[in-house]
Amino acid sequence: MTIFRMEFHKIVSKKYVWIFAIVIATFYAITLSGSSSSSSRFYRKALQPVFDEVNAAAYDPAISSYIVEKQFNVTVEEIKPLLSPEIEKTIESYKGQTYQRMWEKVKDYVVNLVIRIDERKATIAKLEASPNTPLNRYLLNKYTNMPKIQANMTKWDSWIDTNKSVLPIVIAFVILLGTSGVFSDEYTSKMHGILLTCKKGRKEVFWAKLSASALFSAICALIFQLLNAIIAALYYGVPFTNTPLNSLTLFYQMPTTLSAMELYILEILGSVVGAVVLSFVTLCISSICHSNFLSFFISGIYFAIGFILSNALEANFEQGGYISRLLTLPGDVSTFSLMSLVNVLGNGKVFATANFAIPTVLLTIVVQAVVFVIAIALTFYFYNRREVIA
Amino acid sequence: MKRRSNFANLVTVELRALLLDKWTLMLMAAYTLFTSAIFFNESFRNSRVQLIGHNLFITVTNHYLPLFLILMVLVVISPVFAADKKDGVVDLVDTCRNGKVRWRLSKVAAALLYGIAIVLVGFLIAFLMSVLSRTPLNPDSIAFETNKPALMLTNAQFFVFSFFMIVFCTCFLVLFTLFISSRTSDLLIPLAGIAMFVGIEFAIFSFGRPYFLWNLNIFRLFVPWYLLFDSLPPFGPAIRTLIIILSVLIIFSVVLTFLTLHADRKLVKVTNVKKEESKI
Amino acid sequence: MKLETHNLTKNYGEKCAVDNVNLEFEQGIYGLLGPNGAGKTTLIKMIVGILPPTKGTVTLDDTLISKLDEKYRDLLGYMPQDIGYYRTFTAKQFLEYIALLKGLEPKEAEKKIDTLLDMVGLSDAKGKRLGQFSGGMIRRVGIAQALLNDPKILVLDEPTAGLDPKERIHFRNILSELSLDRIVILSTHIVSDVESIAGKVILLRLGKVITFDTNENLLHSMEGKVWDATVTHQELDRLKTQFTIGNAFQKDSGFEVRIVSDVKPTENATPAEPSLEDVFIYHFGGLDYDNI
Repeated sequence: MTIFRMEFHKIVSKKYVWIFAIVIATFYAITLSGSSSSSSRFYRKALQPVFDEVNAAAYDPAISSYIVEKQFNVTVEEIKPLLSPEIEKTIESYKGQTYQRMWEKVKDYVVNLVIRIDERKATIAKLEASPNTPLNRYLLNKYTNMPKIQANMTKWDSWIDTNKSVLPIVIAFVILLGTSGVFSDEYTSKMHGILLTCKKGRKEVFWAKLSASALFSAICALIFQLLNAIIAALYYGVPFTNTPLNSLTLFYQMPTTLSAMELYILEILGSVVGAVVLSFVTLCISSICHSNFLSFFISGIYFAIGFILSNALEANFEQGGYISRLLTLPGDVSTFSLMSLVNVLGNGKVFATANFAIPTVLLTIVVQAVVFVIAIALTFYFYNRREVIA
Repeated sequence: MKRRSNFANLVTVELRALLLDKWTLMLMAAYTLFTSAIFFNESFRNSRVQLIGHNLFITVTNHYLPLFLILMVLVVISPVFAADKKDGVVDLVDTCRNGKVRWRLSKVAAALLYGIAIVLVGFLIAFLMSVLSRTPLNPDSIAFETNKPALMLTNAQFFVFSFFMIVFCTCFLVLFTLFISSRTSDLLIPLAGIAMFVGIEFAIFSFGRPYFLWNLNIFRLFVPWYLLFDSLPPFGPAIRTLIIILSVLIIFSVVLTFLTLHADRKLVKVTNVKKEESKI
Repeated sequence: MKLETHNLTKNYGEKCAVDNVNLEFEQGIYGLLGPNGAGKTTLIKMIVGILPPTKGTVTLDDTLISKLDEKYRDLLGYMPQDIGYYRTFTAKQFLEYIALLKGLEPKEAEKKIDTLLDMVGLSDAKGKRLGQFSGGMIRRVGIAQALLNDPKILVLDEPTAGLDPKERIHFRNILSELSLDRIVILSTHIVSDVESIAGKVILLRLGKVITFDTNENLLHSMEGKVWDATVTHQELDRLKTQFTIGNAFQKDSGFEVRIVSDVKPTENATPAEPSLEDVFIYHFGGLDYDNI
């Protein structure tokens, strides 16, 4: 038995944490499962064999210039003769309305991809003609080095989207439940005096509590990410190939060179790291408060402010924006943003002044690292220096 | 000596404690500050506020006030019974003249009055800000006219309607919080329980599914302008939806009140058995 | 080994809880006595290093305890007034945890835990959760945890409150045995505990040490100041206004009272053998005798 194991046991032995976690996971699964449309799932799945043909068509200069000439208003009949016979071979097994709708989908995928390729070219041209500012240089570099856009047929949207808001909130809730009493429970149970007078009751207990909370938070984040992956796999299916991020509807025209797979892995990583940071902030508040009630509430407010600033308010006025402004910066660098990463990293957000332009995600990491260090320092101070009232 | 321990006095004492709770005052101050920023600071209003129904009063009361009300209920009402249990006051109260059920009833009554009071103050503050900032209330124009609502109410009628819907929903939330609070001595459980309940309700309300739960959602009452529009069958026309939601919440409220008042029924039964055994 | 406090002071805002206390502890049992709010717990918390003093220092063999840090805590056994515990832990689990915090080797800890549980009479309840323990049982666990690391400095704040007389006597005997090669500081309201085992007594009032002397010297100083008398009800009422009354028993012949006074209180009063209780009453007044 080690102090770390005992501290970890204290956190996970709280029954209510697991009861709340199960209830919230159930509702999460129910809500998520209801969100997938069966018809869109069907078409995406059915058209997977012609993924390469659809992409090839959009990048074919003859087809794309034809679509541009027609100002993107083309019919299935017009485009059908131009496309690969492989597509017809795949679709002909379907009959009646389904057959028609399949062709409509193929047409939409091709036209949509041509529009995106065209818009990207236009954006690059516009940036080249724009003044040579740090922001424009940054954006030009990103747009020119972007991987080839592909047709959005891979289900990555659904896999990535849940990390935008719901999943970080669910993870944060369980973390707050588990860690809000780590120090304050010692005060409430009047153990603080005994702990502080034991040989290993100060530094060792402090570090054991921190490590146990970090492990608990990381496990929570991973469990919920796993749950999310299982639900997504069941309801949306596994994405059959990796695609560049800007191929997805969520990140349309965003200055990012990442692939969907890279973002998804980084989201999981961000979720774990953000969870640890959040747990340390909660520990800091717990070391100040005399009750888990108060530390839960204040930590909840801390997280909620980050969420509101980065999500709810932004959704109203800055939808799809990739420029971090002073108005959005507090939300962009919040713990919530680190746990989500969809907004700052997926959108390729950038913070620019007259002299420099840096990816916002770097600012998020730096600010959260500072928060992390300050939280540890303050927790150590309050735990060891707090006057024992009991 | 004249005893002043009648029910009304008990309720007054409890209500005063809730109203003067530092969290009530802090959150009300935050709400006032936020509301004044909306009414008086144009740049804040333009950058941060989404106008609902072309009316700032409706925007504040239907969109932002519920958030503050939920926070107040969460932090002020959650400890009402749990704190007493934790501090061991319950047994002490049981030996006093008024008894446990009366004491519980006074707390429930005070909490409900508290719910009504905070909604009233919230509306008054928004009204005062409207008057002071000379923002038109447009009481005679039809609420949400451009969206063609199923229930045509003037703005003035809609203010009253909103008030009662929000009061009703706040009271339901108060009763639910009291119920959880009466079942535990850990203050965190009612707080986290209600936070989770509100969070799930909000998620259902935002995503619009499951449709059945979306219709019976507390946010339909907290954001009352939704009730002016028709729902899909079986909830049907707006008026039927309204009746269904109110009926369901009334039934739940009555059940919750009963369970809260008799939270220690099992304990009483055990004590009675013991008494009977000792007689034998 | 010498534990000293130098001008130890603790202020809470305007209120001075401990005022310029200078004490010197060497091997033996020290009884810390004082009425409610005298500053006993505050003084003890500063001695064990969990409450920073406003002014003054605590040293062990001329080294500040804050500098000794872990080395000091390794020598320390502390039982607070409000003993803390985890409701979901069993007695054994709890002691194992504290042993871990005190840096005991697991094997050594196991032996020690068994011995201590036996000593405090909790061997049979060692697998029970602390949440199911009575107040007295919790205090016994508290005593056991304080003794786990075989401390050279043992500080006990109200250790016998809630124990029955048999347990108290048993506990006193344990302390007497332990005091041979260590410092034991015992803060209590129960004068008889101090009287029977403490070599030296510290009387604390309003944060100030009013007496720090041996038990014998204190009793000696009270000779000729303690009186027994049998009085009527009316006489008792009169005496209450003029003197400090200790015990008063109603008997057929009237009230048999114990009076602490520098002068002979009544004609029929006879000198009595002083006890530490009388010393307490003499210094803190009869009004506090419900705390004794």
